[in-house]
Amino acid sequence: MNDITDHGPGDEPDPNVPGPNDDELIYLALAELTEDALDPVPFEDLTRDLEATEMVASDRTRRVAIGLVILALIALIPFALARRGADDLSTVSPDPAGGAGEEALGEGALRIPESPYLPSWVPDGFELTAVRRFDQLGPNRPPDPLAIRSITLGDSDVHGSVLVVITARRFATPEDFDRARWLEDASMVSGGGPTNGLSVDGAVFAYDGLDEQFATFHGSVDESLVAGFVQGQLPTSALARLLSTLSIAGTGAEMAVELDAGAGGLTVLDDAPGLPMGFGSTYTLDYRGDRGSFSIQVGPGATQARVIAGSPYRVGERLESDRGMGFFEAQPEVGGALGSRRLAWWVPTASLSLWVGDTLRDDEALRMADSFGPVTAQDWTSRTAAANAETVDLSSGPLPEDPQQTLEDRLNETETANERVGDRPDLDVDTIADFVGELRGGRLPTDAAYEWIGPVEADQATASADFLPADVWHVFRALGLVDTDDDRTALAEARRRDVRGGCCVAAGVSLIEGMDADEASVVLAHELTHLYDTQVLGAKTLAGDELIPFGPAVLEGNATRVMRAFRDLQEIDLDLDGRSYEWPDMPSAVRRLFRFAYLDGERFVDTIATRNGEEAVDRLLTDSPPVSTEHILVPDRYLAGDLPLDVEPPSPPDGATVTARSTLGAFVVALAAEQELGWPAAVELAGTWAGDGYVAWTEGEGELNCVAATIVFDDDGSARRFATAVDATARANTVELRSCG
Amino acid sequence: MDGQPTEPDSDADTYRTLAPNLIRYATLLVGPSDAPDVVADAFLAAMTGPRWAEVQNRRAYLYRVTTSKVSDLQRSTSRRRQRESEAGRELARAWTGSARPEIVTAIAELSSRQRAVVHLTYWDDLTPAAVADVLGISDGAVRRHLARARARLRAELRPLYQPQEDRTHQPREDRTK
Repeated sequence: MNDITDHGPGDEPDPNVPGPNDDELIYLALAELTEDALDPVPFEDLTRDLEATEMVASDRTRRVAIGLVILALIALIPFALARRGADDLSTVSPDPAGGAGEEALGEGALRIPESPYLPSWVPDGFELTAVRRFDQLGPNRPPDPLAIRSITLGDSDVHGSVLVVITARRFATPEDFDRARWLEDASMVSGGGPTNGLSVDGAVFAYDGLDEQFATFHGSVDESLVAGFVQGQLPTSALARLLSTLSIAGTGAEMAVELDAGAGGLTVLDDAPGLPMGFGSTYTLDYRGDRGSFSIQVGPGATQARVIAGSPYRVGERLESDRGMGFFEAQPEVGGALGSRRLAWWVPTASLSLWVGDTLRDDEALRMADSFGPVTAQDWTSRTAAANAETVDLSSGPLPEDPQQTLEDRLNETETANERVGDRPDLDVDTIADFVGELRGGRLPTDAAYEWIGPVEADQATASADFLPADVWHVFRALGLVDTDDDRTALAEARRRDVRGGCCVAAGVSLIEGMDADEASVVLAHELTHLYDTQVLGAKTLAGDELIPFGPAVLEGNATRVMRAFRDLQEIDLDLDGRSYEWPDMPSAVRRLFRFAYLDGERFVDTIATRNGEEAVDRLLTDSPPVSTEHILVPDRYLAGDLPLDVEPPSPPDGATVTARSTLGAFVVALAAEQELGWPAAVELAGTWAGDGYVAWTEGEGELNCVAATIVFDDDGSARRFATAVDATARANTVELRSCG
Repeated sequence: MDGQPTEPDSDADTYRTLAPNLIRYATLLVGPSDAPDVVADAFLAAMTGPRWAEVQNRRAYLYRVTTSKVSDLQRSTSRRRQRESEAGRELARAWTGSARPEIVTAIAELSSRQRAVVHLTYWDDLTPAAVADVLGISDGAVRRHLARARARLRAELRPLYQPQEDRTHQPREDRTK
């Protein structure tokens, strides 16, 4: 144990402080907290598991070899058919070795092995018409012996249709399979996962006229076959509920969506490739009343979404048919490194075709399986209850009252549903505009107005906003300002969802429904200030060359200043300083970043206005903008005309994958120093920042984010203080910082 | 000890010697109920790995593997939590031990990385370099995490360990290694 030394923090007891010192405090707390730690699993049990694991590993190797020779694998999918209503969805027993099903497979297609489960696989009224194999979904995927296959069931009943989703996971042992199999019904509904390995779970929604039938199935796979498809006509309620059961998880999970309205409806979108989904992918389902909608966001993998952007449907194009309406939206993410495309589709009763599946290498599957927690009897009970509740709810879910309803009726219903969603109080826009104009020393356009938008439109409007860009996150990680287990996507999403209004694109000022009149009027004052600054004054947002843009701090800071004045004048009880900035678990640096443009910006603009008048604010927005985050944090530096130095960044290590070269800026310097100095002292230190250059790179297959910076201060003492705070070295007034995390 | 010769390098001895402290470590990161499974998984993964026979410092290696298993678990729980729109203190909620709630809360409010650094530093007496090696981060990042954690814990814990409390201050020599 060479590197396990007796090196403690070395905090000697202070005789002047009663009780234990700081280090002993922490030790005592650890002792108390972990004294109830459970005993280890007996080693004998561990070795038994080990033998099982080795057996599986050996079996896996054999299976892969067999797979390479046979090049075919097939799912054995039993399904337990749950149903409602008096109609009996009895099973049929197709001949797995022949019949119409095999004939439709074509030469070289997958062969279906005999299986005790197979006879129950095809629901009554349907026949197996095709089994297709997708060897490679997406150019970014490695060669994968466990590729997606799809199985298509034909519809032998012109009035019926079927919707099937299958996902699969591998079981580590037969016992695991048995244990997980009974879990699958529940996990499919609740979104949970099995205990180990691969399993198959899925759902069948059969819809015949107004009658809806529902079934679930589960089973095992001899090889890592994963397949699924959805096809048919469904009421929105069934679609929405099905989508809500999907659980997409793990690297390599793929999802694609096809729209298919048949001969009389929309054009079929063929060959939609898989859209890779990573850990950062999000999947949302919005379902309200009888208006179903869903949006699926995928990424990274912008190139994979071209099929949507380049499809017969155009971005923003509104599509209508006698079955429904919808539109497509494609939106690149800010920064360009990652991409996202969004497909939104409203389907009162539209016809959809959709398949979902996981493609997992063995090691991925096992790793994924390991991530699921142990199962207890209590889990099973609760999940069963949840499943039952969901099933009951499903049976009574809203269905279209009249399938012959006209499109106009549908549109009216949609409009009505939209109006019901949230509060849209009437606001006295003229009075608020007068206030903004008076404070800003001018007049807003006489036709200044606002519009309310619903959550879906708001979601679209803010989809491209990235409140935590990847390059910022990289530096935060490298400097230890965030942890590896902090979730950039979740934090940015939390911030995005806090948006209450927008300005000043074509639609002018928009407010997001759901606010009461007081809050809405304050937000409107904010947005009208933007309207004045950009359209009357002609203000532009400067990007600058720092990691954190300082330009928005002037616009947002000024708007926050005006809205606060309006709030105070109206004596409205509304907190402007907390909100999303106090999101639980938010790292301090992220909170300060989110506050920066609004609250630090407000303090900056307010300082300038107090000292030099409202005209000086106009100059901030036009011909005399700040040029660094140092100016925002320490307004005196702006008033003194302090300009940053150009500093050459250090050289990265040989062979490093450089991701960025730029300027950290005084704000990031303050964030780095805050941990040791506290925020007020860190800001004071940032006021002595003179300039810097940094280079960022990754190590260890991208797992380690690194940054090296040369940071110059106004004086040697400040450089030493900063170096001490961040554990770096100072030479004269320059600090050489290097950090990975 | 009975004086019988032992096989210090056997897997069984390694497990029996190191598992209790590793479980304490994992308990701090994922709570008491998941900790034994995390450690068992870590041992299984380590012992079945191709490098196990070559590992010189098995203690450090097992800490690293345990940290990795914790990350796996937290990734899955993080996704679940995100889906369920929960942002509470999962660790605090999961706690079923007899520790005072104030201590659970104080520790739970640290980030997972900070908890790991604190445990490895204070309980296992690792140097910052050794902690950095286990967690795969730089020495500087370890020091910063430790500084942040100490600053937060100091304020929270001080009132809980006043001399008048009926608690005996354990000397460091009594630590269970």
